[in-house]
Amino acid sequence: MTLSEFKSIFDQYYSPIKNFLYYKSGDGDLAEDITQDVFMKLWDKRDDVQQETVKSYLYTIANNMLLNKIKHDKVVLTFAEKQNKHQEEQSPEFALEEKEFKAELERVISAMPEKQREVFLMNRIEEMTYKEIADRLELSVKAVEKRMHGALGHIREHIKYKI
Amino acid sequence: MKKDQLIQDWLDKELSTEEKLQVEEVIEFTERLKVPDFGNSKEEAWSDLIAKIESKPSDNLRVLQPNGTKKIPWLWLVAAAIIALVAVFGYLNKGEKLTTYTASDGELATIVLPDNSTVTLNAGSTLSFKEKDFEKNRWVTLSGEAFFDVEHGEAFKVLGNHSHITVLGTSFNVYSRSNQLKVSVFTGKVQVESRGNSVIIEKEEEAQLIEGGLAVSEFNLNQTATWREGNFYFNSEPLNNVIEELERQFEIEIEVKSEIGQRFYSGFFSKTNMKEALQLVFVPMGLSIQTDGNQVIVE
Repeated sequence: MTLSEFKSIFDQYYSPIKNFLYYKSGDGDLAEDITQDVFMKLWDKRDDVQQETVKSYLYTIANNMLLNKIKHDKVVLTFAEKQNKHQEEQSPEFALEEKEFKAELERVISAMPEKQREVFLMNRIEEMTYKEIADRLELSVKAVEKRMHGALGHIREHIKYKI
Repeated sequence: MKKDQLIQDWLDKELSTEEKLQVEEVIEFTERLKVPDFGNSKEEAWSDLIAKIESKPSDNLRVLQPNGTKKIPWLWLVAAAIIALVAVFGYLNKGEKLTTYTASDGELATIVLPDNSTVTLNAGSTLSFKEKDFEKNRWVTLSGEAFFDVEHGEAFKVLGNHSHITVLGTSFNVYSRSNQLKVSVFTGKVQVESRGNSVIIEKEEEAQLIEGGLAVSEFNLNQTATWREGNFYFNSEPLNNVIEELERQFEIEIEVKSEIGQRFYSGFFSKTNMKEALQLVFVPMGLSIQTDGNQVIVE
C-alpha cells in the first residue's frame, strides 16, 4: 500500500469508522482517539492488508480497540441535525415539541442494544445498504436484517412521545 | 421517508395503522440526524496521523534549509524574515521515504522538489511526498494552501481532501482546507477530480468544490495567490475563512462574539501591519476590535 492509497482509504473511511465508534460508545473524544489508532495500525500493517479486505479490517480493529478500553456501561448518545435547505418557518411551540421529541429519540436509541444500534444508525444516518453494512461488519445480510428488525421493535416498545 | 423495503415491510406487517404512523414519524426523524462534530476536523486528524507516523522511533530526522533560487519573489520573504523552514522528516521504511514540510502559522516555506518543481506553502499548510523515484512518480499530498510551479515531465499529482489534481507542467494555486477546495490555474492546463467529478481548467480559470460538483469560473490573476507577497485579496469570501487567514498570518486568536456565519467579505489586507489588517476586515463589516496581546475580540 502506498501513501496515496493509504490517504484515499483514510478519506473514505475516517468518518464512517469514527461514527461507528460513536454509535457504540457514545463518547466522541474516545471515538476520535481510537480512529487515529485504527489508521496508525493500518499503516503499520499496510504490507499485510489486502485492498479487498481493508474495510472489514478497519471495522474489526476499531471494534477490538474499543473493547480494550474501559467498559462503557451507560451509553448516552446525542445527535446534531443535518442542515435542511428547505426549512419551513416553525412556530416556537413546534420547535419546542421537536426538541423534546429529539431528546426522547436520543434516549431510546441510547438504550438500544449495541449491536442493533450500530446497524440501525449505519443504515439511517449514513444511508448504507444492508449489503454494505454486512460487508463492513463481516456479517450475513440476514443477520444485519435481524438486527434491524430488533432495532425497530425496540423503538416501537420504548417510544412514548407523541407528536 | 426514504425508500427502505425492510422497514416498510416491517411497518406493514407488525403494526396497526395508528401505531404505524407514529413509528414511521420516528424513523423519518432519524434521517435528519447526524453525528455531532467533536473538535478535530478530518484534515487535522490526517495531519496528526502523518505526524505520528513520522515521529515513530525508527525515523530518520534531518533538517534542510530552504533553497530560494527559483522564480518565486523571494526578496519580500527574506526581508520580512518570516520564512522559517521547517524540519524535514524522512520516514524510512523499505526504501520508502516520506518527506514532509510544514509552514506553521505566521510562516511561509518554499520547497524545491527533486524534479525542480517549486512549491510555496502558505501558513498552516503541510506537504508530503516520496523522494525516491520522484521524477518517475510525481505526486504530493497537500493539506492547506500552496502555489505550485511544476516542471514539464511525467504526470504530476496533488492529493488533497477528497481531491485529485493532475498536471503535466504548469503553475497553479491550490486551497484545500476543511471541506473546501479551490484550484486556480496560472499557466497550462490542470485536471481536477473530486468526489466523482472531473473538470479540466486552463489559464485564468479556477475550479471550486461546491455542493453537487465542481464549479468553474474565471479569476483575476493579479489578485489570486498574492499571499506569496503578503497580500490577501478576497472576493465574496465567507468571513470565517478570512478570519482564519488572519489568525494564520498574524499568529493570533480571534474570538468573534457576534453571529457571522452567513457573512461575506470582499476586500484586501496586507501582512505588513496587523492593526491595519484587522481594521480593513472588520470595520467595513460594522464590527469593533479589541486587541490584547495575541488575543483579538471582535463584536
